[in-house]
Amino acid sequence: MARPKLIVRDLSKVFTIDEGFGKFSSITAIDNVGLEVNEGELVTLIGPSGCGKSTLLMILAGLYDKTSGEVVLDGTPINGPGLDRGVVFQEFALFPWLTVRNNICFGLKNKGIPAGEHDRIVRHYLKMVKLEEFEKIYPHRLSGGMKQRVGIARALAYSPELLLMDEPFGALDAQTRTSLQQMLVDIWAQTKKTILFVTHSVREAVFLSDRIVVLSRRPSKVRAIIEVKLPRPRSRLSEPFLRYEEELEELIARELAEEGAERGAHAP
Amino acid sequence: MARATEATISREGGEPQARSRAAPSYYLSAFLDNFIPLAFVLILWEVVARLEIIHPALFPTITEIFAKMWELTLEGIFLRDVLHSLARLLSSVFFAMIVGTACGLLMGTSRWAEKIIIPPLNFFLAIPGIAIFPIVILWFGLTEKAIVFTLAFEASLSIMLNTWGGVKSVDASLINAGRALGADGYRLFYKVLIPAALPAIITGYRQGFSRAWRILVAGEMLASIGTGIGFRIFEARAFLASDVMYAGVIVIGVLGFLLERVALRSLEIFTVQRWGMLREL
Repeated sequence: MARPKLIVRDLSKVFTIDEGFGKFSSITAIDNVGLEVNEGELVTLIGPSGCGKSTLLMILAGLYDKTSGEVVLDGTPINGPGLDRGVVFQEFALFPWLTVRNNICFGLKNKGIPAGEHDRIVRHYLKMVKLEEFEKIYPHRLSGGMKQRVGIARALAYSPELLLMDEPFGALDAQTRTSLQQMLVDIWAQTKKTILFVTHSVREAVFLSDRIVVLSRRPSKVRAIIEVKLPRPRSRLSEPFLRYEEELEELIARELAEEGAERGAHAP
Repeated sequence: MARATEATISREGGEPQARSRAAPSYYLSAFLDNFIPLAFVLILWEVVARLEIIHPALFPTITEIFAKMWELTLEGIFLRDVLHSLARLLSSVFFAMIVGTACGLLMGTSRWAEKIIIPPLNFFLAIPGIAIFPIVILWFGLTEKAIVFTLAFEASLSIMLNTWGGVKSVDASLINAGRALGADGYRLFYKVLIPAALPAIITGYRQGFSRAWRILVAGEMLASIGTGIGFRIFEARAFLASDVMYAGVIVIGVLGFLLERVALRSLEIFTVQRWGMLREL
């Protein structure tokens, strides 16, 4: 088998928290996480809220420093942000002072792609997210779903090797969510990108993923890796789909139950 | 935050609004909106003054005041006063913008600079600019420099404080997005941090302007510099020329209003408002 696209080895993250008035404490957010993602694979990270899955993704994006461990993309260790990765944020994070077009061009310019090609690239990716006629619009006039489509186009435009998505549909309503999930699967099929996707929705994970990595509650450890062997296109209502959903729900519920039990034990 | 539906967006968005020119009716109605309430005040004034409840030497009618204003304008005195006052104001605010923005940005990006600048900044902010004016006169004498220095000092503090606050409160996700998209150091600074902090920076300019404007008038009175609206009012007091004094006060009001509404507000409309960074009411 070929070498994995992305390798995460013994990754740990300890946050130092400034509690004010000169007091500091530390919290272990991620504890020895190991993970591999293959070329062209769509992998989701799931776990109870606050388990550090977004932190893990931000470390892969190079936006947070890791405390220890190793992240290797295409054989090169990652130690900071870079244009070999595209990041899609939960809060969209579009630049309000730039038009949709210029938001997308932001990364192109930094990558040094000649200006003559920008037009073609912008059109190509706007077409992919079905927002062709919005090139000159400022982001504040777009709805949440449209903003995130721009966010996806912006992250794909400079052709990163790996697409990192941090609960990208978490702030959207249910209908928009469903339609964007479908759009993402289509884009993935079209571009054959390697995608790592963080979510807290079991249904979303089963719908999208080749594999699902279940993280434990904080500090994050890999609790289970589930291969989703459903044919695509997937129906959210099919029998096997629901079985995967149930299995995952149980796994996560068990995580939360253990936490509850521990809390109970400490209670006076 | 307004979450427009897809339908309204595609209707509006169908024709991407290229920079369309404002219709003439916009300017007319904007003018009327501001003018009508003011006209009421003027009429009321005229009526009260004509009733002579207050001695006419203390409270002249609006028509007299405007007549005087016209006379002073024809003599060229007003124009010179206004230009001199504006020159002092603009040059001092110009300096204040450069110094204030630079220091504010520095404070917002360097913990070291922040630690050093904050305590003296807070201390100086507590001092009304006009209080240091006598000291400044000792340094520079009764000169333009004294006025410009005091104004610049006062305005730069407001600008510094607002710029610093603006940079500090830039949404972390925008900075993360900028870094993820390959901007770092200098590029991150002027492509992300400055535009993101612009609403606060503009607020700082507006505040700086209005603080400087207030002190300008007092400064001109104290420095007896020979020209300027503030000086004109102060001088007229000696001759009990109340119509000149009122005329001066009105000119100050009109100028301040125009500076704020036309110059600074336009800056805001063309930048942060167009980008939707101001909440609409």
